[in-house]
Amino acid sequence: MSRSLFLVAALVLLAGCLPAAAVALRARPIDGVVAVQLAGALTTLVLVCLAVGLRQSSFPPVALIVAVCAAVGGLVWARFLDREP
Amino acid sequence: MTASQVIAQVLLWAGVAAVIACCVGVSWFDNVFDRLHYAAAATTAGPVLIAAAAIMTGAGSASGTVEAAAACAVLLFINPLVTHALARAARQLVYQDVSPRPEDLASRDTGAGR
Repeated sequence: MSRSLFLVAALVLLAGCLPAAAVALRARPIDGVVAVQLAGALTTLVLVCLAVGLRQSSFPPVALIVAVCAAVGGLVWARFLDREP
Repeated sequence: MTASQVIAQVLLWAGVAAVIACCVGVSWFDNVFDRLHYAAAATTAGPVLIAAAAIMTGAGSASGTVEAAAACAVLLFINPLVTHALARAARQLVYQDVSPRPEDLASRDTGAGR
């Protein structure tokens, strides 16, 4: 029962990507990067909840990789936008 | 449900609520610095609570639980760097200068707002 609630939590966190997608589509590029960073954090937490809910050992490494790649990507975007004329 | 399962669920849903509130904040405000504020908050309280819930429940194996906690730790410790870099880039884009503005220096010298 408690593990199935983790799957419900993953669905709720996935729904949180919708406002971030709206910001990324409609706002300025710098606002879009902020929304993408938020979506990266949401994705990581969704994968953690799926790992607990499904008891699959394949999800946690993906969550760790997504967290690292989202952070690196954010730093690359910040550097790219910092140089924009 | 046992007491530990109840505590894990409370931690989980508190973390989910915190993250969803930050998502609403990012979409609600128009200022990039306000959005950055809420996006940064989503990588602190939420991951800590959800990681605690995951550790209490277990992710299928001991290594999986450790990796899930490590993913949340990466969010907690690395994202402040990204937030700072994005804030600097946003200030460069909005004000074309990252140095303090004269009004910021004046308020600091007079102690205004303390």
